[in-house]
Amino acid sequence: MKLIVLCWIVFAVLIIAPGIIAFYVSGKNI
Amino acid sequence: MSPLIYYLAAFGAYTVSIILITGQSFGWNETKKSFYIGSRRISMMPSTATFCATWISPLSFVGYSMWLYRDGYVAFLASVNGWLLGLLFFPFIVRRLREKYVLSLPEWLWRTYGDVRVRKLVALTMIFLYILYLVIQFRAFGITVSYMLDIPSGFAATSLIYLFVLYTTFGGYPSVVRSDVLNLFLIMIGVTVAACFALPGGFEPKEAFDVILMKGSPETARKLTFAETFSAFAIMLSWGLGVAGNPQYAVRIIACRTKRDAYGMLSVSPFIVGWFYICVTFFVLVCKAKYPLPGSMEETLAFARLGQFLPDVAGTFLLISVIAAAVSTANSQLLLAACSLCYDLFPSRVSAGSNEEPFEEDRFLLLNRVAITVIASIALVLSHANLPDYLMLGRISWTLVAICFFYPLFFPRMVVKDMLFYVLSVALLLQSVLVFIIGISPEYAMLAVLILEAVLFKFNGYFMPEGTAWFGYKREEPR
Repeated sequence: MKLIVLCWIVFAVLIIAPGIIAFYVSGKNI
Repeated sequence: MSPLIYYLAAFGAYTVSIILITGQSFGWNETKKSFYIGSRRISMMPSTATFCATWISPLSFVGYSMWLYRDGYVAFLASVNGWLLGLLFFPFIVRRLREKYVLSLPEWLWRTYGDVRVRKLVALTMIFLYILYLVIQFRAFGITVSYMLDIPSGFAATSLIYLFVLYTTFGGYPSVVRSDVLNLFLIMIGVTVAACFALPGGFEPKEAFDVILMKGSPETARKLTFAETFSAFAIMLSWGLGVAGNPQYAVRIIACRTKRDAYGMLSVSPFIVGWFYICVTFFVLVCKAKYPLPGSMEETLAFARLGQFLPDVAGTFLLISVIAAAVSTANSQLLLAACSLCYDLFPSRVSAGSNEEPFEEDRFLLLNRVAITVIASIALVLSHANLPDYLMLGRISWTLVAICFFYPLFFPRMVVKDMLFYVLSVALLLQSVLVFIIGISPEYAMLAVLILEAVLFKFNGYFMPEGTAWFGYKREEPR
């Protein structure tokens, strides 16, 4: 069960993170 | 009504749609720039569509599904999270990739590091790995079509993708983008419908939640061994690095109209790809819990059998989405392989502005189409050879990508320009020996090779004192 929860948490972070990184790397210009 | 009627109608509709949509992008005044990167005029939405459609291949669809069906969430951790890990790297290279105004990633390496041999070495590697990768697409397409149309699985079924892929690739990048918009649409419909109709009694949130958490399954109580955990993380890392350095995504960043479009594409794509994985994972977990498959069978065929458990229309959409995934990835990779062969490995020698230039451009693009046909033919023949399964072919390809591009793309300050060609040559040779001769898993070999590359760059002073040239080679700065 721990593995399943870990998988979905990591998944959620990896879905959201590129957008946040892109937002800051682009100088908040998306 | 027999499912064959649905399958025939859907396949016919798909064929007509591809012809109508892609045919419009054949231009009269094509140039290298328009052929390879759509003249850098692709806006955010089509760029996002082609980015996601290229991402979703039979490997990330069928290969992942059958691994998940067999081994449960280890497959999710290693492959889905591994692939998504690669997305984190892309925003950092947008500026770097676009400022050189190049048409391909090997050209970018040449313009950045000034060694034309690196360009040719990497182009050669790309041709090899994309042919391997095309084999996956061709094989998955052939088996799915033979299942759908009830024709023997063999050359006839696989040849159909040959026609699709040649047609969509002959128009260059604009044609690939147009077909990818349609393909992504079909893929998303296919997996969404499959997820909605997967549960026997209709979609019910509580039951769906139990399936996602695999409640009642003995696998949830099992703890992973150290070897399994290590292997999963090694695959996760290598696939993440493979995605991050993959030229098929880099070229989409280069082809965006503006940097803003590129950043937008990278922000939206994870949500589309994420939805795809949620639907596929749910569908496969339902099948795992409710519909056991008898014996062992080829993975695409096994996946097609899982589609049988859905209502006929939903099953048809699912199978069409596998075809769309194969076509969308194959045409992108075919274009990149042809670009590597014609543009990077044997570049045109006619200088800009000369009298021959307009004819040379036409000749060059014709040559590209010949190259596309030849590469597709090789992949078609190899798809019937006794090569390893999808996951293995993907692992070999991805690790080679990571070895070629990881340091030059993401750690340019670490790279010693004069050493790059030798380091990459040694790294590729070592990886080939470790994987093909000694038989080490590609991920473990890749991790060792990446460490070796870092050591060679770090201690370059020992290998090459300042002011000396390796074997008398003099690097020339590109103009």
